[in-house]
Amino acid sequence: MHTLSEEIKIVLAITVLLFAITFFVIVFVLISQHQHNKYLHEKEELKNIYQQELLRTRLEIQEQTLHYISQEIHDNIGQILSLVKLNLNTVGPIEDEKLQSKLINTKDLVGKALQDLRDLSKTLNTDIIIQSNFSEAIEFELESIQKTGACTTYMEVKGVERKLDAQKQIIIFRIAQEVLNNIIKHAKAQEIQAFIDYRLDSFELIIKDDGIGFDMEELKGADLYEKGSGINNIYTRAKMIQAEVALNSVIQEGTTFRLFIPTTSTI
Amino acid sequence: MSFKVIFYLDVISPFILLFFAFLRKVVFRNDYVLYYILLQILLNLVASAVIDIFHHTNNLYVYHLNCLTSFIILSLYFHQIFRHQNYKKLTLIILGLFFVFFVINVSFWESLDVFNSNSLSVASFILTIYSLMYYLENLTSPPIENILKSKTFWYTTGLFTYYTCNFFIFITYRKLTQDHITDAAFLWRIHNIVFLIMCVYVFIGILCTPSLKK
Ligand SMILES: Nc1ncnc2c1ncn2[C@@H]1O[C@H](COP(=O)(O)OP(=O)(O)O)[C@@H](O)[C@H]1O
Ligand SMILES: [Mg+2]
Repeated sequence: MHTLSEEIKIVLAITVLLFAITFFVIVFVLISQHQHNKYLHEKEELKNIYQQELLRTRLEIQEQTLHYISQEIHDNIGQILSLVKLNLNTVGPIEDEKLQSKLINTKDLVGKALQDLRDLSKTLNTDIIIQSNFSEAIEFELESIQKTGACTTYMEVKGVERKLDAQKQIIIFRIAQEVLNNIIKHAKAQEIQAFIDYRLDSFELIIKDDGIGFDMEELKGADLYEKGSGINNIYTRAKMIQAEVALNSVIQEGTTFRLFIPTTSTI
Repeated sequence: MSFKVIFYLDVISPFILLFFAFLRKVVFRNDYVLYYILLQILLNLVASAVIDIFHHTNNLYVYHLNCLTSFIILSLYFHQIFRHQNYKKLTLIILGLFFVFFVINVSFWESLDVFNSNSLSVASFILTIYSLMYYLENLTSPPIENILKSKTFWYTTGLFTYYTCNFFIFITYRKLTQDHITDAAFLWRIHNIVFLIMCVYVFIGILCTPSLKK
């Protein structure tokens, strides 16, 4: 090609320069956008960590309170009721048959109250949950339910039982308690089934009932305060320990709850 | 032959682009940049036809028309993508001012049979500023999503590249052609190559729009 005239060369040179400038502007925009996004991302992460921390302290306080109540029941009310029972035992046979049967009735009631309080103290007490195996703790809960005569229970444990991380174990247990409470309160079930599966790298808990079930969509729309925050708590607690939970309900067929948690080195 | 291709680049590249947009079933409604591309095909085709088929000696009035219509469409585009209300208002006000300027320019300074350096370079300058405003808006309050997947980012980058790079060609082209500088047409081929680059950016933008088939 023959040489270009001076004017054309100048225009060409400036055009190339402008092209270089646009190129740098675009690259600059992309880089700053990237940085900004990274910054936002980190901020989000910090917020998450902060919220987890907040949740953890809240749960800790809750556990402490439960522990305190449990001790109070055991040491104070329990003792007093024991004394009441002893006192009642010292009251000899009474002539009046009506009074006599009332006395026996009262003795039974006090005994039952004592037993119930002991059970309650046990389920509230965090130490007992940690010390015992998870499946034992659940079994204890199921037995208490069966004792009330509300429904029958069934439990199956697969895999080799091993200790879970104490904090996680408490949280999983509290979640299971809420699920069982819901069944007693709402489900009108005939039977409750619990399956626990210890796998090499995970732990799974399934609790099934054959009750009336409920409409999950309805629950989503409902006001939290109106409907109770139990299920909501289940989800926030599960999130804290990185567990997956799923609640599945079919009306007239029952509800299935499933919790899955990967157990890498920490457990 | 290769020369010819560069010569027609300003018709071929947008045509391929639109063809592809049709293949992906991109929604044209409200997509001003695609309208703009469509306009380029039509007017560049007309400009070539005036010379090659009808053997007129002058097709420059088509470029006048192209400048005005493009500026209107792209003003609407920026009006659409700006988030600041003030920016939106600004595009409309400037569109009105530009129209006045365009009319005055045609009547007093650059008649329809010379190249419209004045109006085209003013339009380029304004559109460059708009593009920079768009970038600024995105840097100060960025959307969380990845900007590389944003259609408007690629569209705007295409317009930005085209109007900024060609600014100096636009501003000098009337003078160069009036003085009968040899090889002035060479610069128009450079312009066409930049136009191709814009089409590539717009093409990437189209890839970012979710196709209807999914
Ligand atoms: N196993 C279940 N069977 C039937 N209904 C249930 C069951 N679990 C939960 N529900 C329904 O979900 C609602 C929300 O439960 P929850 O959040 O624990 O609040 P609460 O127990 O305080 O009512 C309950 O009111 C009940 O209607
Ligand atoms: Mg509940």
